[in-house]
Amino acid sequence: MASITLKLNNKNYTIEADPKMPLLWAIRDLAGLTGTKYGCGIAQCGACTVHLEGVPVRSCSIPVSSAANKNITTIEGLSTDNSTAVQRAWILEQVPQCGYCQSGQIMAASALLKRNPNPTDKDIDAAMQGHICRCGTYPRIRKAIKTAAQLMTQK
Amino acid sequence: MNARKKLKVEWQPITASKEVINGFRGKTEVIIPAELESTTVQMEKMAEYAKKPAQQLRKDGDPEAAFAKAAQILERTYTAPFLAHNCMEPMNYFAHVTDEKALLIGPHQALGWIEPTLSKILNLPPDKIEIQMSRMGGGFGLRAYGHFITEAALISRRMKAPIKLVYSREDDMTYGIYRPMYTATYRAALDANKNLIAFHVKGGGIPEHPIHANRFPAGAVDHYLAEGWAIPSNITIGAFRAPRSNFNAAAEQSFLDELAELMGKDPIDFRLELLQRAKENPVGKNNEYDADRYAGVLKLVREKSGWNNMEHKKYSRGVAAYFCHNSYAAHVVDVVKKEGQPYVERVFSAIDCGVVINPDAAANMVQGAVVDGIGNAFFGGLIHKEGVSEQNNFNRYRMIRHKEAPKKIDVHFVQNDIDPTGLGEPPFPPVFAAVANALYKNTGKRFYHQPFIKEWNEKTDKT
Repeated sequence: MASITLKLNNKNYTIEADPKMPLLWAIRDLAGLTGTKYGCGIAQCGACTVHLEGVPVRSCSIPVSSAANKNITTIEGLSTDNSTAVQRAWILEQVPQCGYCQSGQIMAASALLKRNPNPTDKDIDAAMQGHICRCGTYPRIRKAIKTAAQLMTQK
Repeated sequence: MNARKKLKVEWQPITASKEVINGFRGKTEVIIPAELESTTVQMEKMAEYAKKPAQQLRKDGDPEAAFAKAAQILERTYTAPFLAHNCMEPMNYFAHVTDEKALLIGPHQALGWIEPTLSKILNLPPDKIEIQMSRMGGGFGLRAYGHFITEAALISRRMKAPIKLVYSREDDMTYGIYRPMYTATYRAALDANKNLIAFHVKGGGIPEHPIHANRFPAGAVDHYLAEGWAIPSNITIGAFRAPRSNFNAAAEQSFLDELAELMGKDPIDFRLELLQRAKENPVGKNNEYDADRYAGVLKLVREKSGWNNMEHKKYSRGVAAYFCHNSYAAHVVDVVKKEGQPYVERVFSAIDCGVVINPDAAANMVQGAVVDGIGNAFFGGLIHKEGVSEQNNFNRYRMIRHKEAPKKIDVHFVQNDIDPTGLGEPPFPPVFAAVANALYKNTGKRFYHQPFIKEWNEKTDKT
């Protein structure tokens, strides 16, 4: 066990954890932020995606020690009122069904649009291919990403 | 997850037994063999059982005589593998069980079904068992079962503490309640003028047969025979989005496509002719479907997809329709070849589920079913070897992913005042056949065995 400081959504959390504990479980079980989901544990489904220093990563496959003192954003940290372009687009296009994968989808889409505000279908394919949606909302995810890109230009 | 990793589980083969199971079809005695099952052996067994006499499920006219005098017979066999549900949220439950009472909280589809079991295994009266439902990260039928709830309850009782049980993905996938493995052989008899005079379906599976004997085209053919058979198995099976229908539609609607071609007819016109017959002069009494509503979705999808419109000729088009869970669904799928692989780029769907309460959510449900159908048709399948499934996570079990989903799925609902009926299941089954029929248009080869991507790789020249 070690004392580790996590900078989650601009707030410091000091936790006692095995340094090898996957970041996912530190976020969920120790910091109590349950918006980030467990789907596979081997970085195959994308449900656990968070931003580490702005880059989307699979929190199930990163030891908590390597995320210490780095800026981490979870789904809860995007906004307090669902006001980011991606969140508004997700609501406008009524994307989710069961919703379980959507935190990861939204985190991936947010990171994509930050580095590429006007993505092509191919860009979207590449950024979203690692995210499984069992309910099959992929066409709406694609549409919502394009809608979010438009919303971003209207600011 | 650490607690789970510390468990050292020693498995031992079960002994053969008989159990009475109280399921959808009432109380049935189930034979559970001891053998460690493998998919290759199961495939051989299915081929062998398919030749044996089977249980007659429905017979109209004199099919034997009609086949004996047929000028031409079309016979085709279809197969599909076990499927794992793979809900994104692995099975999980919270349990706090004491000697006096139990509190259980978690995601489940049908708590009323699990309460009697909990009452029995915990030896507590139902009024001492409180079950709270939470949101579900997907159900697809798997969350109608209660193995994870009883497991959580028993662990809590043993530990004398509140616990939360979360299955690892590996446990979720290998400790599943799978869609059964199915096969069916369809036969059609034509007279010298290429009229359809008899229809025969003989379906089987492990451990149940898939046949719905009173569904289309029953009622539309004078001489009709449906038969079923089953091979006992110790692999746990259960409901999976549109149970049995999800295979029947795949097989039957592919067969009708091939039959229409043999008869020189357009596949939609051919179905409409059969439905007209079923409406005006139905054969037999227990036909489950309404021929007008069935025809309605076919006509709507024909119109909305521009079925006969030459401007769509860059696509390989396939059509299929089905009735189940009291609703009607028809799809036209448009396939192109992309990087050597088949890709369903667009889909047109027509649905009759009575009054639609929330049109956008309903469209989302249909679009999801289409994507789910394409995914399972192309990639789905759980392989067993010596009693163990070979796949245990998403690196080995292929799920449909973002770029494999259609860019556009147009959903159209028949407008009527009929009370609302099912929508989660009905759009799913016909997708498989619409895909198979489109793959035929693309390759000139018929697809009979799911998952189709395996058949595609065997049948297409990869150079």
